[in-house]
Amino acid sequence: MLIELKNVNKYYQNGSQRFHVLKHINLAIDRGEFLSIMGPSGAGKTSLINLIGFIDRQFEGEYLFNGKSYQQASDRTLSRIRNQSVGFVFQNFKLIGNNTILENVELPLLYGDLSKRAAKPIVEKALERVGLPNSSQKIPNELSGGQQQRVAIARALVHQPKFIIADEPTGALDSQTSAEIMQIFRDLNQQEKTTIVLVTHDSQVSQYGERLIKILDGAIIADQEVTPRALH
Amino acid sequence: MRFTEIWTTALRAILKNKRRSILTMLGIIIGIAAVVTILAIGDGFSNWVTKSITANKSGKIETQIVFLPDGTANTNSDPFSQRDLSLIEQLPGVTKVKQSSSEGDYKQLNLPVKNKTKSVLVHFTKGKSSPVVAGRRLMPSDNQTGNQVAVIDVSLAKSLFGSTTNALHHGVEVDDHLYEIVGIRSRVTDSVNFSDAMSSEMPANITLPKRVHQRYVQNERSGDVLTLILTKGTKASKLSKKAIRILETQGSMRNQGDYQSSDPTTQADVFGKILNAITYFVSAVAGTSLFIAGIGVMNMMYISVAERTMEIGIRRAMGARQQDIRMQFLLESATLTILGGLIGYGLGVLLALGISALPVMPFHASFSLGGFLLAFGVSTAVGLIFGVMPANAASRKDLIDIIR
Repeated sequence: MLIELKNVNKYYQNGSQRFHVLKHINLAIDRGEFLSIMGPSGAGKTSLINLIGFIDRQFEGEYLFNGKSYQQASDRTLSRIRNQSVGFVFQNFKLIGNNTILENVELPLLYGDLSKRAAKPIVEKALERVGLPNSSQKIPNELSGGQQQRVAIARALVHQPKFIIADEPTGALDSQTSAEIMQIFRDLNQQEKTTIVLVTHDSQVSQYGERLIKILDGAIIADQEVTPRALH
Repeated sequence: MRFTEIWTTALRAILKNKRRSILTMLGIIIGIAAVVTILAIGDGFSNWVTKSITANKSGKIETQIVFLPDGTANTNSDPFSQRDLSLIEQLPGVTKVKQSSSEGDYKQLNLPVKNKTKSVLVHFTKGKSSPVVAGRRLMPSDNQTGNQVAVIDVSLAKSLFGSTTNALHHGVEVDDHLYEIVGIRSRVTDSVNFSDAMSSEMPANITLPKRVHQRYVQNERSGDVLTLILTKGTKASKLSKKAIRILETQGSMRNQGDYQSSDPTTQADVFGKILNAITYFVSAVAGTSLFIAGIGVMNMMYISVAERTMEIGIRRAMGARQQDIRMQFLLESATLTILGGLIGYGLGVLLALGISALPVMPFHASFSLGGFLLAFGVSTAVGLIFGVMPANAASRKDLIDIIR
């Protein structure tokens, strides 16, 4: 198993109120899976993937990544895990606006101690992979939303992470562009066996995955295989 | 991330915000420029002083001690005994002591001119006098054969005789003796130029052959001057003070007069003191400027950190460690101040060159590697010291709070 959550609980302290955001989560994700997490806003989807993506470690229970727990790990170790193992795709792209596309996409490589010179061909290849060749010198604002999200995907896969976390990647895009973006994820999963954890509240989008988890009020209420019928 | 990549990122961030960066750098530029200017001028001054002292006579440093007898002094006795000489010769730094008479090369004199008295400077020379505008110069032969002749300057000639041509071959009276005017030199201004004063010859109103004048005043005083020849690197004023202290306690004539140092560098010392005071003042101003500039840098860095919270979050999510973020902002602040320091250094050099080009300055500014390193070091230090807190604040931001 790549990811194993065992009886995970998470609370937010809001003033004197304690808010139970994740309730007794048990979840196992294998290598090569394409998992969609679906649920309404406030159900705890983002809390769950922040936890999986080593962004948040304030939780109770056990999270094993490759069989190891990193709950007590130093900032150094966690940064390294994020750098080597996780690729993030966010709803609002989260590209650095002042930097060129090249500089945005090369970030994971540079923090992995590669030189700019060594990183450049890898970046170009990743941009080609998401259908944006010859755009490395542009800045994010010169691109459309769909193109920016492609850049973000290139950034998430450029360092060949163990898994990619996509938090509502199509939330800011129209349905045509959404379909294109989802196709990229699907190809990544099917051709390169990349593990993908995708969060969405759009049932259309969730149909691209192989497995669907429904979450409501912080608890998993369904865990099922996606039947290919919904695809057209 | 590699250091060079972090640094490139930092430089880029500075260039992105040119106007803000330049305004922030201004304090550093002014502070460093002030320090560099004053250092260059100070160095130039001390170089010039050492050169003008050592260049004087056979490349050695000299200082003089004069004995001034009071009324009770027995004029026949020698002002310095053999024992005095050997006492001073034993001082560390003194290579040789010479005894001579104070009958110097210059003398201030009151001359009656048209019912008034006028103060004139008389120069006694053994050699050639300065070029003349009429008549002839004094020659070494005048001194040797004892010709009772004189060269006077244009203004004195006019006030004594009406015109320069009238003055030639008339007489001028110095110390009750008459000298024939054989030459007229160009006008001597009253205010003595500082750079002239330090050179070997001062322009004098009247020039006489030394030997002729000495004949008349011979027995006034003799042997009342000690010339101390010092080893290189000794401070003349310090050593002559020491020598005087010894003479005042053990000198043979200590009860019949005073000992005084006549240091050829006293004028330079006064100037040096003024320069020192200016240096301290400018340094204080520069220090204040740098401190305030540092606070400006800190402020700008805090703003930069706040503006780029999202960027920090993205970088952290991509695997940047806390120390990478800290380094990025620290380098940004240091680069900013180093850039300011370099600009300030350039400005300081220009300023120093400009000041030393002024006609009143007798010397040139001098630039040293040390001055450059100081400017570089100080500006780096300001950037690092005032960048630490914002950089730490940036690195301590909790990822969970900034990424959502």
